[in-house]
Amino acid sequence: MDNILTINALTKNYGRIRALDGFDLEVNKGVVFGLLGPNGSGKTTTLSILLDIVKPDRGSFRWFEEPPSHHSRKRIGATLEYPVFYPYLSAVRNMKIIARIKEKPFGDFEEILKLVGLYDRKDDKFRTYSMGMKQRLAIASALIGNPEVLILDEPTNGLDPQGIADIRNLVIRIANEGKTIILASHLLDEVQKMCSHVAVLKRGKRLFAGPVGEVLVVADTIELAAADMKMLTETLIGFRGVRDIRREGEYLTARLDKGVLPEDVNKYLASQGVVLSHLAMRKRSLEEQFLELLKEGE
Amino acid sequence: MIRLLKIEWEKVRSYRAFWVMTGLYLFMLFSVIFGLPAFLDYLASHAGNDETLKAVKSIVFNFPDIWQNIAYVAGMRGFIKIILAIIVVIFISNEFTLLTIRTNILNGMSRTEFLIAKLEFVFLLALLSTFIVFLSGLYLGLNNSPVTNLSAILGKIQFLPAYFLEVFTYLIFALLIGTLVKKTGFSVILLLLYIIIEPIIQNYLPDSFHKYLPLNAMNGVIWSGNTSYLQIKTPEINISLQQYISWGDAGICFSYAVLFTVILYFYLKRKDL
Repeated sequence: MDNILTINALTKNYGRIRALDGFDLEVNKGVVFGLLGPNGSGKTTTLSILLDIVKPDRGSFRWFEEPPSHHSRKRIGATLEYPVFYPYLSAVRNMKIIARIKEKPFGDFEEILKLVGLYDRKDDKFRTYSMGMKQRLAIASALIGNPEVLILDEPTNGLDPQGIADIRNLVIRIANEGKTIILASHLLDEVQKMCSHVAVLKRGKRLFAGPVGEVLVVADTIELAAADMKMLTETLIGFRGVRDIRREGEYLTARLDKGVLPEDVNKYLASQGVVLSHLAMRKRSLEEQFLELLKEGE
Repeated sequence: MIRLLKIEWEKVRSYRAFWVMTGLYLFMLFSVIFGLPAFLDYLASHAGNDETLKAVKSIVFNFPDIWQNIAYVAGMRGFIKIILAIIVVIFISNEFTLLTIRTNILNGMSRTEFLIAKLEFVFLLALLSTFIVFLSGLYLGLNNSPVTNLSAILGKIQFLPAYFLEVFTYLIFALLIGTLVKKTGFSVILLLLYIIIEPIIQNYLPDSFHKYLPLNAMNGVIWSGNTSYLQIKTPEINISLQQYISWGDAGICFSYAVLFTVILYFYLKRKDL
């Protein structure tokens, strides 16, 4: 059984707003899957539907290749939107409620609380926690009972830089144990650092999905032209900072290595006696869309 | 279903407001039930002699009438029972305002289980209230009733399950208001306002329909006290006191309990949380 989650044409309207529009997805076992998109793109709506908080208007989904039920949810550890707990109860009391719901023992609380760095405050009321501590408790509660799947909705929201680093390391560590993780984020950087696969959402639609390496390639491509194209090609091959040199119509294209600027290429070519008649950066269309996406998300 | 009760127990065990309110309710209940003899003493002291005092007390606290009398007083509409309903309204609407219902559901509680947990909770509250009424009745009866044989004691004991039914149904009503309104403050206000609203609605309805209104139904199973010593029926004064519990009245009340539960069930089943 390799398939953990299958989503089929999920659609959800809130009044006249279409939050989710025929969303499809497949998540396999052991994958760290990023749901990437700006605020309001449908990430939380998707997760809410998967957790039976919200009812879809159309479409269906399956957990563990079974029709969804509360039993399948007991095998999932999840955080949703912002941390929600009983404010008048301590971390431990809140976790007890969740463990009882999931029918899991209380034995792993100490380890989990230490893992997320909340052990010292475990007996204080939730109400007295800072945003960062609330977020840590949310992640702690998701880890109760060693679930097969972890759903994390914006897990680094509200955390300070140290907290962000802690949580990211924690997620990567858990992922390395082979757990399936579904992570929603509006931060490209976060998804790139933590996820193996990604689906990009925009206005409730899936723009693309696939392995992070394929979907989120951010290497820049340049276009070049010179009077003597043959000489340009031969000279460019001698430059170490570029890859994938190709002829495309009247231009030559090449992928820049990380940290290499078009100026460096130009300087090198000039030093070799090649004078360019054309030099331009070409954003990959995906990246263009993505940046636009993120801009809208701000 | 013990698991669901344990979950609810975790939610209230260190919730101070819950215990303060419950303490207040129990205090009021005791005050009213045990204040009753003091009140009768006061009335009798104005009559002037000791014999009357004893007589008045034994009229009201005579087994088996005592069950009906204290169940009637403890269950009067808009009276102490309202505190219990307010506790329930706060308890359920908190789940919606704090969004903790989401935490419950996403961690693997089904929506039906959520409802069952709440029903179990209010069932226990109603049971607790009935038990207090039972203990108080037993104590007061044994101290004041001229007759204390077993058949007299158990004579009108069916007024206790009737009291339970009224309280339980009223608490499900509170669950319904808290669930539909969601905002804690508004829910409490609506619960209180409805006590005034229903008599207004009643004015516009034919007499025969009155007993089918929810609040009337939830207070109509035990609709008066009674005493076998006192039957006033003259052409001038016509006070009719309840003699027995009618299955019809109990049925109407129970139907409301079922109706509220069904509404809650379908509402929770379909609603985005």
